[in-house]
Amino acid sequence: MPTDDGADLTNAELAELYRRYGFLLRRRGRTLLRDEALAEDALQTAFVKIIESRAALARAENRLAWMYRVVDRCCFDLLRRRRVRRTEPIDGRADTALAVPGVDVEARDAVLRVLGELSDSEYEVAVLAYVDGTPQTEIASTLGLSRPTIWKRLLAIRERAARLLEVTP
Amino acid sequence: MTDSVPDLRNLHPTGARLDALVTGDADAHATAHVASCAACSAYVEQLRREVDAFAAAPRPEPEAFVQAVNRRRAADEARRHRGRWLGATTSALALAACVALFVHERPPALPVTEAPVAAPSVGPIRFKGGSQVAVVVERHGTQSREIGSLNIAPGDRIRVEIALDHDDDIQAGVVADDGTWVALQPAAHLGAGTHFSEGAIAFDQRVDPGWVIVGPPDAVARARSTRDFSGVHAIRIHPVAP
Repeated sequence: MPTDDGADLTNAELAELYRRYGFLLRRRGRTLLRDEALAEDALQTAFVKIIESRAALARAENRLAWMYRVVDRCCFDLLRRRRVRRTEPIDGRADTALAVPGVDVEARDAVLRVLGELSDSEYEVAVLAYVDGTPQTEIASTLGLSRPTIWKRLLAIRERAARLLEVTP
Repeated sequence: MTDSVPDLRNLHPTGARLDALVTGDADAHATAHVASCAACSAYVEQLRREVDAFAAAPRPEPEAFVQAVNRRRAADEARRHRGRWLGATTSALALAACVALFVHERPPALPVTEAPVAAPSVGPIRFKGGSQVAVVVERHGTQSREIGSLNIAPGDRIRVEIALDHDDDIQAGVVADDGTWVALQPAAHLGAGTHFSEGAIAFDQRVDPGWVIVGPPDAVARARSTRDFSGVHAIRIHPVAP
């Protein structure tokens, strides 16, 4: 696994990361973007960033969680660039993405449909809460915010999703 | 949607921690929790089945993915270095020069109205191996990525994004209904990965209906001359008011 020596990751290290985490990272992109090609795009972009992040990756307590955050950011950029709300399931199939225990599937799917409409700060909280099932205290700690702030953002996200989905069921 | 804001006291490990167990990363707390929690155990088992199925399916080698990432990184750096991409920093002069480089050709003599027309593919095309095509449309400084038909207004600029999971010879351009051809991507051998067309097209005051076509050079040539779109990806251009 990569060490914290400041250099870029080598091709062999990248290949190993892809072999070990590629499936899950692509799956994450598919969940957020609901589009195979976009997910591949996000994955490649994420790996371009990861190449130069040897030190951060080496320091990460949970490498997968750290890489999820990178993919999440790339997905957000793609969603904002497109300015399109994805309402149809991938390839016409119903949403079947496995939900993390403790996450309300209906709420998660509703939030996933409106991710592209959320603000930067809302998006980050939404993914941590509704996709990862991260407790509010942990989200607050991760983002350096207070728990009441997280609570307010989650309420805002829920209301925003409900409002948007009323317009486009 | 339910009324509840997600869990205040979710006693399960987060998704990232559960997922990490499948990769073999050690997490004593998550491992102990899974051993005693039916829901988490079922989640991890299901995920493990997905990973196993993926591992068993034919797919590009990791080395091919790494090559694609390196190509993208090089392209990003070159783009930053040149300081030109279709985005907001591109000057009107540069775009004009870019468009001026395109060769406008008339297609072979076959009248368009007499040409046999094959139905174009719907949605993102899958070349051999399952790669896809999208069109990046820039309007008033805002970009959107389209995979269906295009509504193009005067002043819009378009570029093609081609995602390949294998090496292939690819050509792209726009053929207007009157047969006019404007190249977006000259015939070139592209490697696996995501590529943006070398050129962009800026539409002036008049937008003619036509097609963005992308595919192997021989299929593109056939599409231009006979309107047989069976071997290419074809995205319809609909002119709209600004």
